[in-house]
Amino acid sequence: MAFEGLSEKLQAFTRKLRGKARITESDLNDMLREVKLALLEADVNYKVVKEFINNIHDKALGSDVLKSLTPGQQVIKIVKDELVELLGGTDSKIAFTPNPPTVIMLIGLQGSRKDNNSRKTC
Amino acid sequence: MDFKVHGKTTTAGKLANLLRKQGKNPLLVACDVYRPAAIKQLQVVGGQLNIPVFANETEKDVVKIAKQAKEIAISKLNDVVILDTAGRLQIDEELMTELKNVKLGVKPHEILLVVDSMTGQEAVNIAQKFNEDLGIDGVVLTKLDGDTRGGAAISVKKVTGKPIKFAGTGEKLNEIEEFHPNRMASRILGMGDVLSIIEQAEEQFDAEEALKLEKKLRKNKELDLNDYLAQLRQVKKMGSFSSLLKMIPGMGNINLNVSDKEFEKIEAIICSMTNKERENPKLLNASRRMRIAKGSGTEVQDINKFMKSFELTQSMMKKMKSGNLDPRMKKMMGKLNLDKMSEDELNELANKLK
Ligand SMILES: Nc1nc2c(ncn2[C@@H]2O[C@H](COP(=O)(O)OP(=O)(O)O)[C@@H](O)[C@H]2O)c(=O)[nH]1
Ligand SMILES: [Mg+2]
Repeated sequence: MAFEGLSEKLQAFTRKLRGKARITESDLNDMLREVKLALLEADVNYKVVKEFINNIHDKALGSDVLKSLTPGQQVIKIVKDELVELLGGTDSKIAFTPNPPTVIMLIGLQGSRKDNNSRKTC
Repeated sequence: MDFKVHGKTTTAGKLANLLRKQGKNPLLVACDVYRPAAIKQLQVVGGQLNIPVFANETEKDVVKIAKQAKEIAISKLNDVVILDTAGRLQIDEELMTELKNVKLGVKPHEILLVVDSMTGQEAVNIAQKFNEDLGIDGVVLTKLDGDTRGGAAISVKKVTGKPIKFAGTGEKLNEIEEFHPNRMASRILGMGDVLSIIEQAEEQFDAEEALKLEKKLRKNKELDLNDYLAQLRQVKKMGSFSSLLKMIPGMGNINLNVSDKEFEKIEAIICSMTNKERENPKLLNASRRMRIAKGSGTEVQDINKFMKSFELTQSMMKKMKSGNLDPRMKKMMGKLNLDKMSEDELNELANKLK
């Protein structure tokens, strides 16, 4: 399963947070350290991790999120929003031209595997 | 170094299959002129899917092949052409030159890089390199069904600035998904009850905003630039379709999908206007536009183009609301991307709406 390790750790993090009525800065820092490790273990780019953690830290302290949530839920929301941002923010679709055909060019490297026509297919 | 099989040819087939499900009529094109086996492979994939494949085994010039394919697509009414270009074991000048020639020669609307998510940061580096040397519009991340740790998926957008558009999730030709950052984040975080509470809170906020907008439109006021900006921000926050717009009867079809860069530009433009101008865009004469261009660090042409697309949205909304819009038009509008259209295309659409 993809993301397994990361997912497990982030979920442990949100479980810790969910019930919290108060979160001190040192609570937050402790927890963020774990998140940071989890991201690095998942092979996320180091700079990306750093910025992600800083953003969560700053936003969680300057919390101006939705009023109806508890502090724990607010932090989870911040984490989720930041994660969505990292993954690209909004959905990115293909821009089809109004004057067809839309030309899509697929590029990339190629494996060293020999071509074999007995490969598995549907 | 251990080179992985990234899955380009398979992805070409998967993408064609997906787009056909969405009502398109794709043509696959074998552009790997170096390996006969690669052409054969694409033909096999096309055959399995019953999707046409264009190949020209006697032609070695990839640009010519791509151009021929475009002609054929036009005559056979294929509205999408998917080029499966050659890959190499590593990025070299020859490969780049060939890809650049194809880019110049056929001006593809989308250049998508196919990379294997299992390669982690290697995938990110490849994406960065291709983006710098050639320029790409997005990434297709394959093998997200494997035990990838996720590093590539989480880093690629931030590092390269280019989004993941599709994800391969298996070996079968239907195992491809549009990449939804929001859903992916929920999946990673284990979309529990907490996330649904958060979503409810967000929905409530949206509902209040939607109500405000609806009231305004009820009063027969036109959409102004303040509303437009609020919409755009909402879209940026929530995903490509505005959940806000969807809540207003008849408005669900309007697509306000813009790229991050475009969004920042529009935001700068609107924020450089006075409140009076935002409420009454008709005030925006040439000298005001000049001032706004300066203030927002854009060109007057940018303002003109943006205003045209804004006016178009305005008239679409009016028509939608009065319910007198041709259903074909309505269907089309959901798919339009106003900000990617040229001025001529915008004018043409405006005429159709009249
Ligand atoms: N598990 C899995 N396998 C994939 C995926 N995409 C491609 N493959 C496999 O990768 C192998 C090589 O694919 P191919 O399209 O020939 O790669 P190319 O050399 O980059 O064109 C095939 O066996 C595919 O079934 C995916 O999303 N998940
Ligand atoms: Mg191939």
